[in-house]
Amino acid sequence: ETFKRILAHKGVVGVIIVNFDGIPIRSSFADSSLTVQYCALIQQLAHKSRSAIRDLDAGNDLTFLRIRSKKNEIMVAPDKDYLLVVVQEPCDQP
Amino acid sequence: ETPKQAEPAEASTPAPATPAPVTTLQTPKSARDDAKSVASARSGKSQPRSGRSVGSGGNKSQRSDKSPKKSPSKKKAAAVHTPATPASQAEPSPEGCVPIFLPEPTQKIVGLAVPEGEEPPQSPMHFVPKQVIMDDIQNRAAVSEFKEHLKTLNEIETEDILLVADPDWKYGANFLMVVTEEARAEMLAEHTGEEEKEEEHVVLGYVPPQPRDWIPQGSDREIREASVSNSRPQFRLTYQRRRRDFGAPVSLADRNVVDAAPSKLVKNQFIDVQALEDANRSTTDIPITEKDQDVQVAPSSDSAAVQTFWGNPKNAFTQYEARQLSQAEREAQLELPELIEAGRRTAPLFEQSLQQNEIMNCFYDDYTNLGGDGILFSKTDNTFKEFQTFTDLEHSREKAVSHIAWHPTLKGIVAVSTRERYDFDGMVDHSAKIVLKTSVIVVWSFADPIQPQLFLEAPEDVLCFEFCPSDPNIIVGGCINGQIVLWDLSQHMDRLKSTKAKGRSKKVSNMLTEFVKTDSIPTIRYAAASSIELGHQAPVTDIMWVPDHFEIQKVTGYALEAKELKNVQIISCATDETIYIWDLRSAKSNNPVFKREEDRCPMGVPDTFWHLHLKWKPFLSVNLFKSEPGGNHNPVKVSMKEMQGDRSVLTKEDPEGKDPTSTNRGDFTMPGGPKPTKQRMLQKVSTFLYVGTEDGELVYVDWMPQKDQDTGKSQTPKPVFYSTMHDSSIKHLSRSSFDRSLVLCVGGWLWTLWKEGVNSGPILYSQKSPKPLTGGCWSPTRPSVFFITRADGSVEVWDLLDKTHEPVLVQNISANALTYCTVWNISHKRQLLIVGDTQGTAHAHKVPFTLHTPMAGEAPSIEAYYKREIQRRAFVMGRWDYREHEKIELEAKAKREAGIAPAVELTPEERLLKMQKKYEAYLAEEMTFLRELGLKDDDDEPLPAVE
Repeated sequence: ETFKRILAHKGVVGVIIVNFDGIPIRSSFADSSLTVQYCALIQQLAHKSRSAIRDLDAGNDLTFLRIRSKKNEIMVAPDKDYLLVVVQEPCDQP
Repeated sequence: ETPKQAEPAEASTPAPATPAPVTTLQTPKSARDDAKSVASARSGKSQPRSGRSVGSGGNKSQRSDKSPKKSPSKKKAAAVHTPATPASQAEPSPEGCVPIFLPEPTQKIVGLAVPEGEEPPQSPMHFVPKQVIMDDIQNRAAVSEFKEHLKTLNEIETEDILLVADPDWKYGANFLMVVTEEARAEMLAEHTGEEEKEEEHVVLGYVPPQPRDWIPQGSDREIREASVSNSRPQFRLTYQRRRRDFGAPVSLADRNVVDAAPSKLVKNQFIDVQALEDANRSTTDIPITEKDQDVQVAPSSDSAAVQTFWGNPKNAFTQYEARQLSQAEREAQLELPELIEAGRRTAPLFEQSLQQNEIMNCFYDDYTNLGGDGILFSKTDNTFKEFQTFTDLEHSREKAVSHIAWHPTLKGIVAVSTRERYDFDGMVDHSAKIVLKTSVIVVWSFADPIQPQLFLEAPEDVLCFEFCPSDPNIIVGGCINGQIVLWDLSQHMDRLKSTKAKGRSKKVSNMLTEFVKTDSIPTIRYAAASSIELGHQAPVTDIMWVPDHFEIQKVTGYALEAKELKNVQIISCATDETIYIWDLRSAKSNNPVFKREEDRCPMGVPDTFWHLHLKWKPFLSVNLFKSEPGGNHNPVKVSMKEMQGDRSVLTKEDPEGKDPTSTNRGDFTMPGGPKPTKQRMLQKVSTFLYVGTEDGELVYVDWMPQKDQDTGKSQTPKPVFYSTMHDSSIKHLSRSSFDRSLVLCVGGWLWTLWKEGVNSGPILYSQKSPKPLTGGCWSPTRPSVFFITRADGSVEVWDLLDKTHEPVLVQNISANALTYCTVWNISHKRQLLIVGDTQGTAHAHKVPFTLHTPMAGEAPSIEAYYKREIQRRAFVMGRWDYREHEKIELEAKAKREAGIAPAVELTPEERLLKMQKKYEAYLAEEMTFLRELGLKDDDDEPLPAVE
């Protein structure tokens, strides 16, 4: 139900749940290849980010990752065993 | 003994320090000896003491090559005599020398004495002539020290005696007399050698030793003797030991030597080494003066690092297929509590950021909407830059530029017309002069700013002219005498094109210039002029081509679709209160025969329009009646909404093409039009014209004639409205190329901006300018910008988006009043503004970048601005109405107060009440009246009250 609630937000294009092997568990994308691509790339990115944070401070940990791009924003929440990825497109507000 | 050969005597042999007495016999020898010593000194080896080994073979061989023949015998004699010389001194004097004591008086006599205070001579050698000594012996006899050596002296054959000073009394006397030849040579060699050594450095050059053949001189024998060779068979010895003695145990023990000493047996086994006793000193006395000791210091520790290249190990893998979970697995995973927990934990984060994004659009880029201005906004870039100036001394000087037009297709070709600067009276005064002068339109090219390309001859001064948009070879012009003139440039088009090419590449022009430059600039006569009687009766002030997509129908003035898409109709206006519409084709069909009869056109003018010449007449006239009596409007400028090249009207009309009403109307107009069956009515075409008049009025009029109810004649309706905003003649009237309903009107001391459909007044007008305005034009690229020329030679640039109360730029361009301006967009980057002044000069200026490059979102914003202005206009109208109302009310109030009108205004309720009261009063009155008549009983009265 969390999944659905997030998906109901404005501008949200897709939500993906990925396990830490980069395998999609649940995706709202219809295109499976896109899902796979997201999973593979975001998982690596999240892993790298987390290691960077941990290298800087061993007691620290990555909680949330927002990647703002020209076209959309990708939000990543890495949990213990899962990654939650939300892709949001810009809303056409002034 | 080295096999050293005597070096050949050098040319640079320094002379010996001592003066060598000249003896024919001895000189070569001494000289040779000198040379030898020099050579030996140079080679760094001391000369062998030949004196000590007198008569040895080595010595002989040494000088075998050069020695004089006499010397051997001399040597022998010397050898015989010298041993006889007594040597009682402490040290034996050298061979061939005799120690001799010479006291000071003797030294004086011989010439050896050193004068007091003088340095003793460096060299101990003293040559004393033999004769002097002999004389001394004779003079002093026994006293002479030389007496005892008389015998020896007599032996000496040389003319002088060598005396060597011996200050140390080494040989027992203070002088050494050299008596033999050998000793003499040696002495000299010894001392001069020392001297020569000092001069060693002076010797110049290095002579490399020449390899010479080996000359055996005995050393080979020594070598042979030194070498060891087998001279006998080698011995062979065999040592043996018994087998059992090998490895047998051996017992060794110390034994006292002293004990064993007596025993003979033991004695044999000892070798007694006696300590070597030095007679002079005991070994223990020798002090250790030197000690060999080595110390080596090495660092106790050393650190070294070595880095070897070692590739970063990387895990490499290739995944061909994405891992996927099966449906069941996925379901199972989704059920996991960890996942649900993770979702619960992260959801707020997502929601927070999602909400943030919703609240503020992070993807909104402010920079894209910032606009392009300011980036290139520098002071230098902000003004007009003079590009070129065109003036023709013959034709355009002292005349005012009346019109400037760009060639519609060829870039860089501009035509300039000029007029006399006189007013009407002046023209009358100077008429004779004017008539003699030819009036021309000068066609210039940017490729050649000095020489005009063409002259277009006109019957009179041309006030306005226009290139035909569809056929740029045709130019129509309006003359000051009211004639409309046509030119056909088709024959000279090549020239214009070639000059253009010339401007681009000189190569082409080289060929062309021979033709072009030699002949004078061609003057093109007008192809046709309109009929004097039937045309305008006053100077033609404005002329324009009717856009090619429609044509105006004869008589009725309806706009019809033009199939050919050619500009054939012309609208002209003159100050004779009329606007005429002309058609190029009109006479063509009518007078074909007439054309034949006519003379061929003079001066090689193309006969394209010759049939029109002097017969051309307008087919429609638009009159400008004033609403109130007092004459008509006098048009000077005219502007229509339809634009050349804008076909939108056609496309808009398309769906309505089969509209019954339009066809009906088409039928209706059929008799009038030449070929109306095929032509469509274009109802969207606005048939209204804005006309600027000589009195500064702006008239909005429909050109379509209407039937007058009274007379039945069809004539132009009265103008829809007119307004007198300008205080002097309209100088410019044009529509914005972005919004055709926007009209810029320049005249007098101000400009006004009108919007079609808003008739109450201009949507914008400027304050009164300090100088009269003489012309203007819209920027072709920026909807908010237009240019205004002033009578003081300045150009104002207005940017309505920037400032509306004052121009953004005022730049002086000419010292004279400007008369006309036009802007041409040469390319995306360049825009030229051409202004003409009263001196007949056309100034071309580059429009600054900021003024011709449209800003981002300029069009919508200016549109919004105009909309606001229109609203404001509407509001003003409303206020006018309100004020009007208010005024009426005020008047009424005033009347009321004066007692004429009812004092109080009643509300409807009050009025109703009042009426009811009136009615009741009436009823009561009627009742009493009836009662009086007795027609009504009181019984009928409602009695309860009485009761």
